[in-house]
Amino acid sequence: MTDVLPHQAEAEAAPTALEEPTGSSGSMGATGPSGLRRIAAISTSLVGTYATTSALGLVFWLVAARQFPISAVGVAGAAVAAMMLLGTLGTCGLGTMLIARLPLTEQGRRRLLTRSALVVAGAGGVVLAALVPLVAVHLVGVTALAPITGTPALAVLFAVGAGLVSVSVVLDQAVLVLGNGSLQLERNTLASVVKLAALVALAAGGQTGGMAIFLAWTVGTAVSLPLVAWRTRGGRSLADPGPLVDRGVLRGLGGLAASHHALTTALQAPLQLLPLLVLVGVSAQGNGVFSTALQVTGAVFALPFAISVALFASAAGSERDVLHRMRLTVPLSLAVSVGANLVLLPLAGPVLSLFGAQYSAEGVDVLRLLALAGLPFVVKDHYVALRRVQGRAGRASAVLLVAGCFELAAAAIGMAADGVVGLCTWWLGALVVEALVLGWPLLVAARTTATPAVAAAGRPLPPVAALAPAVTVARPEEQRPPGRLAGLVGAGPAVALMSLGLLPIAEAVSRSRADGSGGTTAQALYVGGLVLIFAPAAIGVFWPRLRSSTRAVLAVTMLMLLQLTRLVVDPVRFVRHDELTHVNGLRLIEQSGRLFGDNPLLPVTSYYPGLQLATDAVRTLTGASDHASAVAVLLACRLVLALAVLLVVARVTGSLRVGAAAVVLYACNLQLLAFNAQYSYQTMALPLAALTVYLVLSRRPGTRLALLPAVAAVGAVAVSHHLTTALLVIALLVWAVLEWLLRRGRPRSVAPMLVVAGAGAVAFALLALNPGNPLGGYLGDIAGGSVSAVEGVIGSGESRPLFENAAGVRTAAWERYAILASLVVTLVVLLVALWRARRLLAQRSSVVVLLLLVALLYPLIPAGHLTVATAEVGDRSAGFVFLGVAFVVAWWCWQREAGRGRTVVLATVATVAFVGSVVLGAGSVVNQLPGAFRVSDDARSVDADNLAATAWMATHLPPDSVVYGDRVGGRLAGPYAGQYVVTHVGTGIDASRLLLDPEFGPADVALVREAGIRYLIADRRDANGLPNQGVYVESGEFGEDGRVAPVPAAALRKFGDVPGVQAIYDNGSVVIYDLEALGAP
Amino acid sequence: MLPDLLPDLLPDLSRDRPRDLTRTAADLAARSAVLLAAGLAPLLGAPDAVVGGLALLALAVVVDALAGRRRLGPADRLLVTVGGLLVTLVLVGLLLGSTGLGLSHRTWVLALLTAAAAGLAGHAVLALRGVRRPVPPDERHRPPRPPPGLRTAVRLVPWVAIAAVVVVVAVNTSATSQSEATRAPLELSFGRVSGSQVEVVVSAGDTGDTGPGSTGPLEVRTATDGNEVSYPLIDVAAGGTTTVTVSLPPSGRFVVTLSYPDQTQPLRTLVLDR
Repeated sequence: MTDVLPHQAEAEAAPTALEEPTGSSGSMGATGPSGLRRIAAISTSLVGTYATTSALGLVFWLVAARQFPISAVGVAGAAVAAMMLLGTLGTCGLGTMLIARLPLTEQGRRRLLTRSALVVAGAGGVVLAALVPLVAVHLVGVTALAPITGTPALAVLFAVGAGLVSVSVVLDQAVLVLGNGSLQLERNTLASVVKLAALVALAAGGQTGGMAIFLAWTVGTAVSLPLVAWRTRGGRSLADPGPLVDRGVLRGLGGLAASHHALTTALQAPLQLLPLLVLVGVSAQGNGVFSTALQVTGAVFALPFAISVALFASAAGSERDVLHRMRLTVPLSLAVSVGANLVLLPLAGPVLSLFGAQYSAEGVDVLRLLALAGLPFVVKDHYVALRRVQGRAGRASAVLLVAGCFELAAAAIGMAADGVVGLCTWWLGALVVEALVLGWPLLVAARTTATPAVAAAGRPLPPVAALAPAVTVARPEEQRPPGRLAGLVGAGPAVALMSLGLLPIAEAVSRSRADGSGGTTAQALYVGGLVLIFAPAAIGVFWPRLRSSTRAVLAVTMLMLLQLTRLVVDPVRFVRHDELTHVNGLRLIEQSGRLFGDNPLLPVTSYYPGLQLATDAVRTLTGASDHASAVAVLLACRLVLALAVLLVVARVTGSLRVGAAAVVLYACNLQLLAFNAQYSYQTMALPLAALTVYLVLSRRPGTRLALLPAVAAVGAVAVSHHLTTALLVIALLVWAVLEWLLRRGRPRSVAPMLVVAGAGAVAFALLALNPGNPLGGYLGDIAGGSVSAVEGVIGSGESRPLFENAAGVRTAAWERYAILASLVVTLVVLLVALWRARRLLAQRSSVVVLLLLVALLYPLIPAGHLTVATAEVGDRSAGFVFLGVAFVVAWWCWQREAGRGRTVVLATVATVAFVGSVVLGAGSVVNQLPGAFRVSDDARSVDADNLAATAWMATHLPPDSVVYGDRVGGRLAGPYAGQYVVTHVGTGIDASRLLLDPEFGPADVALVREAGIRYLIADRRDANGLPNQGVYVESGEFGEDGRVAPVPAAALRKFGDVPGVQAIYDNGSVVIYDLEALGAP
Repeated sequence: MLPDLLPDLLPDLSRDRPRDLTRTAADLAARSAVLLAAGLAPLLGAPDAVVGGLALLALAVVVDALAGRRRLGPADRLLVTVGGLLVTLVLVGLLLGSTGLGLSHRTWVLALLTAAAAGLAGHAVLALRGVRRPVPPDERHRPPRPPPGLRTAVRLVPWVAIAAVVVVVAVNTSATSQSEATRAPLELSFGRVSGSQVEVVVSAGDTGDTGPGSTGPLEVRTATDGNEVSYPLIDVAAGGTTTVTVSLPPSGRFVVTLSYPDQTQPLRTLVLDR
């Protein structure tokens, strides 16, 4: 690292060109040859300055590498990079402002202005450098940063260093006006020499820590500052009798300066964050190698960058000139970069050996990869130059911010996969992708340079305020043409990009299976994959000037890919608790060819077989396996859900883009990723309910058959799920009432809702009255449990521990923060949106009011988590409530014209809400991944041992034998072994004491006879811990109340000593007993 | 309500636009051909999967035709087609499963073809009723411009193909890892029990405890009233099964264990009580 990083230099060069184009450069930039000469002159100057400091910087790091341990170099590299970034951020663009203000300020006031800027910048740097590490180390828990700011002394040193960087950056820019062109070079040279001397002195003094290197750097900067003061001293005529500092003179920080500062920061931030990433994610030693290689490659980046800066500086604000000269500078920069690579690729080892044997041993691949990064940087640098001259620095900043996040995310994924080399590889890949994306505007601009269209491209459109009748959203964008690039490529590349999110998820799943722990890397990959699926859609639906169809495709694709993540996680069979129940129902239908059979795992599901019917149809007709057929049906359901949400909101608001946004926001529904994607009856019922609403909404008025599709759809809902039908009927009735209240002049408009609600009610009643349907008792138990739980909370303040499961396992810290952030973000945005949406009431639209009422129910979801019983009820209502939430928030988001900055903010907020909702709804990430066996923990309890036992039962026990087992082993025996599994909910007999009571007695014999249990499945591993899902078998089981210790091992082995009972199977974990001798049939 | 204001996916409400008789007839003929093929397939002895697949296709084709009648754009059409298929499968299945017809390949095919035929008939009546006049020759010869939704779909095809490949790779990666991680345990169970001859079955996982080839040596022991009998050592091939026949009295309680030869603590234990 040099005193002046390549992209930091831009902060100095850019304003010069910005503020002085009409003078000297204005005449020089008009013609080709003279313009090119100017590019050469500026490039030479910049490169000369950079080369001097770079050479001294290389010597500095060479000495550091030779005199200090490699881990110390790693710490220092990260510390210096962080200091440079925070220091630059701390300037707040004041350097740029000085460039603009100083020439217009009278001589006597210049010093006051400069001093004030320096003080404010220094303070900004100090505050940032004090706060950011504090938050990172102590709140976020990034302990790897402790070597940098772990003690008060180190924290002070780091803060002072950053403050000095802020001062030096501002000062370097000020001297361009106050002093002369060489002063900057003088200061940087002095700083480099001093820091080198300080480093040698510290090393000679026996210092070996990384922060000693940092101290040397800081000393160099500090000593160089008085030089500037001395060299810019004036005579009495310049004496300023006023105050030392006056904040008032800084008022009026120009937007132009701020946008250029943002652009510079966005450009350099990823490069400066990478060493920190390596330090935190790999090790200090790894960062020693990485930082050193980065230092060496600085030369590769320097010349192309200087050329691009010179291109901008020489253009005198003329976009045409820039585009014209780019035809030379782009290939020239690429050629320089290729040449540097041709040198570095074979010589990487010898170059690094100058730093030490360990550097050459570990850093050759790193250096080669980093050197290759120079090629895509050429495009990136030219993109920045183009946007600057176009006056679109603000938008470019937003683009680079997203690009930076993309780079860092890719680097993090690569680092998780393969350490520092992986980081470099993935970062390089991200840069290449960026270059492809950023290269397109360059091509477009080059092609259109002769037309006035370029100038008009960034012009804001006039606002469109008119609302169409009964339309709740103004739609200015739909009257605008899509952007050229967007119009040309459509949603395709983004679709492919989003699909790539499945790969890190697959990698996470594979790693988690291999090591059994679902470690940090696997979790990072998993979450990263989900974000890669979600974020592009979130950006796409809010991005300005996209076709509505593109937005819709992105949104629908995102929901489909989220559904496919379930297939990636469990690619062979369904293993979740509810899924096993429904797969068992499917087996019963397949075996008998009849409906309403006895599914002991949850009898009520047999009476709502819609999902299994569709699956059976696909399986029977195509010959596909159960699993493949079920996956196909689930994908169809997800497609229906996505399109229904899209079109319902689009129809209500009159805007497809609001509909697309609603689909994306609907993905923040905490049940979408797991619960509403599993093989369970609600997964089909919810999309069909949304389809019903859409069919009612889109009916053709005045035709007799218009409601037939909606009536058929509500019938299918009734066959699929009881509660969804009830809620749908209630919603339709409320809709009818609202319609009647709001449109009294049109009583006939109420009829459609009443007809469909009536059909749903009749179908619901017919299914509920089907002989044997236990719906009343089933829902009664849930309602009773919920009421009791609420009474407990209200009466005695009893509530379950938050962020902790039944076995006492706490949710990870970052997940707690993610959940809280998600809830806060959702609540705040929802409240604001609802408040703004009150004006919609004036339109007297019944469906809008209905959706607003539904959205108002959202607080019940987090509130439900106070008790176990209400948590499930609250969570499962999320699928319905979020229809309203998605509608109103999407409507609110599109109340303002979308800019790219706003898009980034909205997408970021949505992504935060999404990630938190994933954790809240699907559980801790480690639980979402497969891994080693955990006691009674849903899919995590399905492993090779109980699958082997299940397979043995399938081949060795007579079909439909009566078996009894724990929550997982017993449940597996139903769908996958073809056995009849005794459950409390299915038979009314609680036989849990057979497995949980360590004493064998007459009660056990009586239970065996009463339930007719022939085989008992005992998983001895249950004795290893408390059940993670609260129970070993079922709610209300033996010993559940007040349980503080795992079930005794004796309880699981007691049948081995019972006369007459035979142990017929043993795989070390699972033992199967034959209880025939106890009187079982 | 307001679809005329919505671009691309919600295009227009011009439902009463006169339609081209030729195109309508061709459309009906194509859909009828699919239905006819589905109906003939079982008569020609086609495999069940082909017959069933054609029946599903015929239903989809008809539902799509009915959805297309709404003229609310491709998104609406896709939603109503897929949703309509699901609804039809559920309702037809309910009819079959709750009556004496039962759910079988034959009944599914017959029911779906019947539903498809009824739907197609209804569509034909409505479609032909909507035809007013043939399109003038000059309009007919004008090359038709594909609708925006179709253009969008066509442009998406290569990217969706890439995404599909990615999906396959991801699922395959996960499935492979599951296959590698799921190593079946060492299992001990009873086989055939006949008089004094009792078969003891030992199964090993895909990877042996002592190497990639096999698990062992292992020793089967029986214990009766304190008398322990050891049987010859066995090696169980990876993923294989070995059966050891032990001799036990025809009545009594016996413990059968599987152990390593030099260890007393058994790896697996069975109990036979007769």
